[in-house]
Amino acid sequence: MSFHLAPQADLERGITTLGGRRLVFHCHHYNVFLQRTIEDALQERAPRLLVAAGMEASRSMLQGREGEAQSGSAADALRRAADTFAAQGFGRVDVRQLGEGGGRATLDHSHYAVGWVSRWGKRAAPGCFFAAGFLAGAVAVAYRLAPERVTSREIECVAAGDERCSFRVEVW
Amino acid sequence: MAIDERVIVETVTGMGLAGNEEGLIPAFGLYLTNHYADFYNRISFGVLGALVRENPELTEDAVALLTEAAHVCAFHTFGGIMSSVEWDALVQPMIESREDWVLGMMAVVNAFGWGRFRVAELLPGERLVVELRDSYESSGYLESYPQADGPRCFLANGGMAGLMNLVYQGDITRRPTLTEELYREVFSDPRSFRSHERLCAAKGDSHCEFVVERMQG
Repeated sequence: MSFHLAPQADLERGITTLGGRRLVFHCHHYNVFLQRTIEDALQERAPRLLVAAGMEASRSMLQGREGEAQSGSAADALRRAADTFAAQGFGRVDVRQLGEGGGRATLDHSHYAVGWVSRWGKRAAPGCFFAAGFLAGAVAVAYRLAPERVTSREIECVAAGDERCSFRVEVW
Repeated sequence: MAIDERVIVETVTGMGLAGNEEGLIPAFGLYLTNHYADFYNRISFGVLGALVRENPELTEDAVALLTEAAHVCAFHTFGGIMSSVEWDALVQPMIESREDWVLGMMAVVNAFGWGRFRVAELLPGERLVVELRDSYESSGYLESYPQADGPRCFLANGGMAGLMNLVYQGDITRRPTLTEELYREVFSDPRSFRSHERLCAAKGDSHCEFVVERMQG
């Protein structure tokens, strides 16, 4: 069973929204090229911006979406977030090991890892920054935590040669 | 006009582009995401702000970086779409002229959530003027920052140049392979197209407007 809710499209204005926030289609070429542009420009500061932006964007959408969804447990909210993530084309993320104190999540077929490898091959360090931010946002929304209390980091990445992408989410 | 924009927009929207069993969206020969406008805006305006704060003289370079990303986006995204089986099935039957490739692609983009594009002028092989309302870049900018002192729709601006380069410079109608070599050849040609965002809602205009012309007329 999927918990995914379909986005709302306003064809006259060319606008699509989910949870009150705008969605836009883009392909892997743009996504990984833009990420690389930012990494090149900001160097060691880039991951902080990319993860924070992922968290901010996903948290805004998920908060709005939770208002539209049927109520349920925090685990249900995480499951809804994972289904939305997959429906949006980012890959399949397993959130069953995430809880109020954080935990670990694994991601199969990460869009960013697949896209990066197809364009440039392997990279030296993990590169799924958006996914890391998304998971932090999902935990913050599911457990109604202040965003400052949640951090997330990718510890294994297919784009860096690992077998799968995995993330450690910490709640402080 | 041969291109029926409403049919294209409704059909693309109705395709229900969503993740498959792997959570990926393979379509038009690409991997798509139905991504967050807020994410693109934060990282684009964030890197621009950081670079300009530290080195104001680098403003043009920072804009050029974001524009380059848009050129890459247009080359692969628009090029991939115009080379796809979906294009052949939906848009190709409506095409009667080379200009219809521009209009058909614009119709597809209007289903992507970027806002509503309208071609105001198309001088074959020479000039394109496009109006954009509800741009996700300008509206997103105004949500988080004060009114801008210059245009902010870097993706849409570069995308319009990329579209003209694909149609009139790279001849996408002949379905070339979209390689990095072709990208460099097309975009480094001294007569290739560049776009200027003449109006932008982020700087107080009623809508955004792009003028695309060859670098050397």
